[in-house]
Amino acid sequence: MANSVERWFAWLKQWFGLGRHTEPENEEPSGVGSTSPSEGLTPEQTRAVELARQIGKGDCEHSAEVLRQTLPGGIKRRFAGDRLFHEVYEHQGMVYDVTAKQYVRHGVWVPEELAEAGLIKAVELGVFTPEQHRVFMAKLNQSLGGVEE
Amino acid sequence: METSIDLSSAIALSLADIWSFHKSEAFAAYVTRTYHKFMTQLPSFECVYIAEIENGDVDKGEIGGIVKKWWVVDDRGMTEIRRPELPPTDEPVFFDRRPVLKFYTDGERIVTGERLGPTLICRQTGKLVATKTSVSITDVRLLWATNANNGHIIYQTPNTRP
Repeated sequence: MANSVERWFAWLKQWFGLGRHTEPENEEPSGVGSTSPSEGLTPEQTRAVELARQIGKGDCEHSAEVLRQTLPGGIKRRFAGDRLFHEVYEHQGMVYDVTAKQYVRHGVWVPEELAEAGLIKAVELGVFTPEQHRVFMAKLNQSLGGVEE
Repeated sequence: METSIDLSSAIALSLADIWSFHKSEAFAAYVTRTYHKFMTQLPSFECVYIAEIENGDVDKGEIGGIVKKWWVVDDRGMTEIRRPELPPTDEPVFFDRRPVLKFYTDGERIVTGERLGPTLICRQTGKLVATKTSVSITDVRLLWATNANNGHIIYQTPNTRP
């Protein structure tokens, strides 16, 4: 049992750079993530994401608040379901979900599925296109009994 | 912590005190102290939702997004429910009609997340003290809160202000 847990964390480390990082050429084979919004972020947006990560860490509501202050004019969106209570920040056509990584766990999103959906980069950076985030949340809703919009 | 009670429900029951508390003048003092806002009128909540969260970090005062249990509190008492009914975006109000309290515990300590309205959000930590029949939360410390006047986050540790 302990070994299987260790293997699982080793997988996560590989995908999310906590240890050895997988080379990027095989990360986004298909799916909706081939054009990640991260490549087009302004310095202001990049700073906002870094601040939200640094200060909000694993707390989606805290992160969304930090983003609301650093990138004013967007809206916070909440997802509540049987086993889900999540919040993101939408601003100028992008969805900021800097705590998305918390859902990369057994029974929710696994790294292989993220790669297939082309979401590795978006999850790692915490910035999604609306379509990428719709796909990401659809799986969460399915796994955690969320409410589809 | 040595306890024979259902810790989750006992904590939820302790947090459910907000239902009677929000109808008292002491609630206005609490909001002023926590969110730096003087209230002219007490809120009239439809209900309060309480969520126990599965993932978090009591040391950092963080709460994740995976829920173990939901409860609803109103005049009829506290009831475990399958899911809440919440608006997907902020309503243009000072107090939410259906505020949410969430908590994460490691069994010894607790981090609570409170959202009374769009600019009334805070995180607090505390220690759990259990008896045979109940749990109380002591050594409560406010980590951060949004300022109800301008929405800015007020951190108790100035170094972490964005």
